[in-house]
Amino acid sequence: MPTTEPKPPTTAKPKPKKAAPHVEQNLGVKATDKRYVNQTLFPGLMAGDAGGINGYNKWLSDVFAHSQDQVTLVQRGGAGVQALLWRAHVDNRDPNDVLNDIADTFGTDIFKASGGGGGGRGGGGGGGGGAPTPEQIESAKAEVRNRASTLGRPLTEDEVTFIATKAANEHWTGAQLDDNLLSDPTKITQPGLVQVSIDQIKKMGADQLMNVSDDTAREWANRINSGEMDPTAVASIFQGQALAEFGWAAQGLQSGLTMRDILMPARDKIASELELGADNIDFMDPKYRQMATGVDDKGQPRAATMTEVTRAARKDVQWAKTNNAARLAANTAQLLRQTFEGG
Amino acid sequence: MADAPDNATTFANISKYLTDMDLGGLFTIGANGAPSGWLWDQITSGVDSQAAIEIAIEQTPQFQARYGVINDLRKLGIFAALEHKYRTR
Repeated sequence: MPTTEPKPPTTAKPKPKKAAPHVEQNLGVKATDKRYVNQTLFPGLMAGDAGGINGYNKWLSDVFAHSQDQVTLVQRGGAGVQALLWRAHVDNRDPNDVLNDIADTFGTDIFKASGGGGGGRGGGGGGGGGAPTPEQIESAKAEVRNRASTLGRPLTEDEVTFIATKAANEHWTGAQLDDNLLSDPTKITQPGLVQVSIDQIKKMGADQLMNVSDDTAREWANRINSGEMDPTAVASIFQGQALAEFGWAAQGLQSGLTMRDILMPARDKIASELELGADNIDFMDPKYRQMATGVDDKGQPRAATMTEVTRAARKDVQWAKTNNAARLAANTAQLLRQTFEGG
Repeated sequence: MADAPDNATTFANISKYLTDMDLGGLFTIGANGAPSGWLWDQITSGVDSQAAIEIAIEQTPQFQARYGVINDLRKLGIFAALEHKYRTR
């Protein structure tokens, strides 16, 4: 596997002995803060980061495919470095400043190949021909483990050694390693990047009220992770299906809304009437979908008005068990008594 | 959400009241405890005035069958005077 040494900081500025205050300022939180560094899947990812998990996955894939320097740093520094690199990416920081921050936080040894000092996880070697050195194989093994973990592919130590040796011998790129690890989707059995992508694809489908089978979601997830497919293409597929299925919502869909977005007010109304949490209202359930859909004077489906949604929700047997039903029934009974008995 | 017995008791009281008025068909309670019938439709539609209830109930076949005499008297111009007399006693 081709490896290059990460470049040390290029700007010569004094190095404080511990993390400089600006590191905390720029990162929003210490790079070694357990709150996010210890996350298994997404070190550094914080709520509100642009792109969310999707953006993180794409960034990580790009790093593995194109930035051997950063991969080597992550191998040596672990989740802390990965977190710091992600924060730097999010904040669009100057690369030299980022390297300085890494040096400040993790020490300059992180830029040196292992052998002389402790702490390193094994450095890469120069590309070159000939058999890979033990250090190169160790470095490749670290990368195989890291990537396999990220992708949710459990590996035995023998498998790690086999793949790493082959990768080092054949100078695989990150993309080639991904292809190897993803070659048999049935072996992706642990939560990881692919697993998350499967969930994301199923959620993208659900947002457009589409059911996506596990097989389809897995296939698309693998294709996305191997770079053959773009997540936006999947989103377009779902949008097209939603347009065909819910023509009445075309204007909203074409402006980028999902069916879930469009039906959100109806969902809240139904939840309120049935005294349920909004998360309990799943429009994949035809019962709730019907509550949110009306019919125009030509017999064509359309979005239900809020009055129609309210009435439909109250027709549900669940409504008769609500406090609201008891209150309205008591009020109506009182009106009935006044009608018959005066007052 | 209210306990089921609270709602069930409310519904049972309404049902009994209408049954006592010989209008039991306007509000029925199914074997599963789910209410239905004309009055239930009024409840779910959120009717909130006595006038609306009065007008609507007089249109029901059950009311007309049991209290058709009111309409007959009204046509003869008698009912309004009687209604005023007895309701304001």
